[in-house]
Amino acid sequence: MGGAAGALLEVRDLHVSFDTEAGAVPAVRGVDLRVQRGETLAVVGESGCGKSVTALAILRLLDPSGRIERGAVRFDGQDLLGLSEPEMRALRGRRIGMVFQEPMTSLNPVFTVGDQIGEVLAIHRGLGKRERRAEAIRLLEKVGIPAAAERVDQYPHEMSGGMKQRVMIAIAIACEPEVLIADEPTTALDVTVQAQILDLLRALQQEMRMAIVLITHNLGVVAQFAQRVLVMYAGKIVERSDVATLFREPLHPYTRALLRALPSRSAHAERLVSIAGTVPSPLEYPPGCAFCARCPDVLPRCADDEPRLEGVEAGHAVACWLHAGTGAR
Amino acid sequence: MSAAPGHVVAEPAGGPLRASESPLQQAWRMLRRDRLAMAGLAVLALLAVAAGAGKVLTEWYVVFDPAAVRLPEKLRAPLSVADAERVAPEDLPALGIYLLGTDELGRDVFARMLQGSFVSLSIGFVAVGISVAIGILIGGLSGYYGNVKLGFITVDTLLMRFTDVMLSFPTFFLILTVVALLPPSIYNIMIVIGVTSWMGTARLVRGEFLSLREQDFVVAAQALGLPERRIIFRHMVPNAIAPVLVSATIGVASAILTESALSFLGFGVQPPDATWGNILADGRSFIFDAPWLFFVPGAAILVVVLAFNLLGEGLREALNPKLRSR
Amino acid sequence: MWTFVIRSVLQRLVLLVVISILAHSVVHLAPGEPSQVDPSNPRLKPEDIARIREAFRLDEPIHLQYAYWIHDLFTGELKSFRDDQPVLPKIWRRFLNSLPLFVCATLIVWTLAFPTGIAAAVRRGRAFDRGSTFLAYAMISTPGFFLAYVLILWVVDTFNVPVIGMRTFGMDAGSPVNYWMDRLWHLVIPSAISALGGIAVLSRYVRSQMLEVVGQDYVRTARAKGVAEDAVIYRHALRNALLPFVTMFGFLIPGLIGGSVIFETIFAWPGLGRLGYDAILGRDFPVILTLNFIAAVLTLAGTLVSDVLYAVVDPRIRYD
Ligand SMILES: Nc1ncnc2c1ncn2[C@@H]1O[C@H](COP(=O)(O)OP(=O)(O)OP(=O)(O)O)[C@@H](O)[C@H]1O
Ligand SMILES: [Mg+2]
Repeated sequence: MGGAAGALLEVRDLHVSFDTEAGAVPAVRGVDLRVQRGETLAVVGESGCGKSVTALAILRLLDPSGRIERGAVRFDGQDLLGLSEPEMRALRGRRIGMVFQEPMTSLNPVFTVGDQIGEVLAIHRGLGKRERRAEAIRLLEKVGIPAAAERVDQYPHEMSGGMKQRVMIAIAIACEPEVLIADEPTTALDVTVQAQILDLLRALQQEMRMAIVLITHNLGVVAQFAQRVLVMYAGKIVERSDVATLFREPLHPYTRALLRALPSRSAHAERLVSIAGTVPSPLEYPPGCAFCARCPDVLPRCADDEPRLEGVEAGHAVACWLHAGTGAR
Repeated sequence: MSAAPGHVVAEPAGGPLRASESPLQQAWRMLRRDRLAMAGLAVLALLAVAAGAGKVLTEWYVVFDPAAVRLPEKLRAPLSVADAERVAPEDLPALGIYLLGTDELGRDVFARMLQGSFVSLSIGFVAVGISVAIGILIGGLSGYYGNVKLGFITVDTLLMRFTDVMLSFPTFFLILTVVALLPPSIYNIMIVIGVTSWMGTARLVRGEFLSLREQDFVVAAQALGLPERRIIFRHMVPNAIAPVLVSATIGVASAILTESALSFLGFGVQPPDATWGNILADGRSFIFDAPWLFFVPGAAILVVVLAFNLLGEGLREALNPKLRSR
Repeated sequence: MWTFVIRSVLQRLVLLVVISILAHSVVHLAPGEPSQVDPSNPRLKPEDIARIREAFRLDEPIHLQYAYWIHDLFTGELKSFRDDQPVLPKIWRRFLNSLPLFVCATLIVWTLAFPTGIAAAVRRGRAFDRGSTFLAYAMISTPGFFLAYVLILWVVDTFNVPVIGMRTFGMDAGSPVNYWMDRLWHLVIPSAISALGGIAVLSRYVRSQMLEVVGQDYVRTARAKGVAEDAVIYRHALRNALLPFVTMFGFLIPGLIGGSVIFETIFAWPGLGRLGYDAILGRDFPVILTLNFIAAVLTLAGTLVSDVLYAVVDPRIRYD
């Protein structure tokens, strides 16, 4: 394992920018990402660092104003960026599922949840009307919705946020995808509900052996859930590591700040990560390290010279001048 | 909130002012990029000049005489040269040319259009002024004092029901009825159009006020104990003005169209006053013999109303913060 | 649901009374009376005027006049000032004339405006969108009768068919085919021409509604499910975008009276709008008032229907 051939999903040097009134917004600037079958990769970072954009780019679901400028996305040996739209559609929802950040608005208000689950089943599994309904009920049960036989005919507005997110998960796993991209699946939910949703995802993962890309800004969630972590800042990956190493020996000052901001006792308690200073706007990223203005250990060269992501030990890489060259030791 | 009023105020008060660019500047920058809206603005600037010139040159220093009747010279085509032998010297058009031809009485169409530009434009603006004033008043009252009880119903219910009543009349039919029953005069037309078209503005303003009432700077101003008049006129009206401006711009356009429709039915501004609407309405009888009598005012109305509509639409986009952030 | 309907009906009845009083006062307090329409008419002697005023109870105090009007209206005794004909049958006949024109125009508006608006939204910013946008603005900005005259000239010129009036005189004698073709021409052309403005307005509205919906999260969800683009637009987006248009059904019907004056005049179409116009010219108060009243009833009924329809199509809305 570990070789390029083994990766189920692989993103290389992804650059995405948006055309806006104010000019081109470089939202993602060179992201690399690899997920093996069955593993969980976490992507962490503050709001606006480009996590959702990365996920949407993988599925080619960016807004019309968004453009993939450079990079490659490979899934199971295919180049996703080179696929035709119908080929891409055949993958979405079948082999790659996605759960969105906002359960409240991600379900269509005018269709019953049964219809919305059934649609996926009709498209990818060709089920008839009866079977769809039965299968939808089974899926609702599977994601832990009580009285599924009644709930299946309800509309989204009749459900709580947590239940809507369960429905979203049911839609995403309906075809037993190989990869599930979960974009902050719990951010909009209460703390207790968050834990339930995460437990559900873990159980489903074990049962179906799917890979999960878990996007979050909560390192506590990462610790419980993932095997490997990518830390993103301002559209780039600043640190890549396995979970144990990251928590034991965080290298990037940003990762350290994130860890310090973590409430030490309860890993469930999701708090807004607060680090001094603010994320620079994508329109005015500095030429050097984007974190330099907030960095406690800033070096003279940080402002103008951009550090590259370099391995410091097996499975641990960081983009920071403090650690540059340490890997060659 | 009442516990620490000073604290509440401290932050939001400075907030909007710190921005490097005022919202108006931002909107203007957006608007400048909208080519159609800028074209509209250019046309309207020209129109304003024409209307000013119309007032001055046809009434105060009569260079173009819209009322001069020259029966021998009736229905002359545009750009035809006046025949000095058949027309009294004082009735000769400026430059000796009928720029846009003459009508069935030999009146100079260019002079009439020039005069009409002022009249038509003032009908649009006065009517919209009336409608905006009523709309802001009713919408503002019901948005700001909505909860105040008057006996068994609230101010809001009362005013909004009244708005519903007004909306339940078929507007054009109502305008027609009133205009037909009143003695024909340009002021009556302005007033009637204004009085029957404020409902949209009222609803807009009410909606804005309802949401503004909850916002920090208004809550802060109330907590500070500023007088209500000041809160409403200094803080809320300016913030609610953007959508009103948009609907007013479009309102001028539709008032001009309404006037022309009234003219068509014979209830518009009566001769000898010229408006584009009544020139057009009269011109339809000569559509074969003297097409310019019909097409000149028709095209003029089309261009000007289009300009108002495009500008209004451009303003809507430029002033809408939701669209701007995208 | 039923309590909602009943409450709305009661509310609207109260509104209706207010409206009718208002309309009555406006009409009666405005200067100008039926007896003065033609003061120069030498045959109209003062005693005639007195007789007319007497017959139409114009000397009674205004609130009594109102009571008489309402009473006569509901007993069907209300007569026109002009020809002494009962008002309701008169309006009914005209209504039957207006109806085909109205239905045909509405069908044209709805069948053209929706595809145009949707197509423009889907192709946002591209040639079709900009072209149709500009065309729509141009149509909205043209005085209706100006556009109509230009188009009539063009139609008569190119197709060489008569379009004014409900039928061509003398056609009744011809074969039934010719007769019906003639009727059809006389119906379709005016409908199409009077539909233009509606198409422009409605297609703009459809477009903006569509754009609003296409940006929603659930549309992205549909795409992430692998739904084909057409189904995303027509199933997921359109269903939501259509909701507000249900309310427009309610406002369609009153257009029968108010919106048609100009076009019925242009096409010499003896419908409701013309009736109202002639009534206004002749100060025929009973007809004016009754038309206004009916328009208000239709509007209020329309808003009620649209509220109820809204609850039917939008699962989020429940009245209880
Ligand atoms: N449609 C868009 N148009 C313009 N800019 C966009 C668009 N979508 C995202 N961006 C910009 O891209 C950057 C990254 O956004 P993204 O949604 O990926 O952040 P995120 O990491 O998911 O944050 P969050 O935790 O808030 O979800 C942001 O600066 C955002 O402003
Ligand atoms: Mg996100």
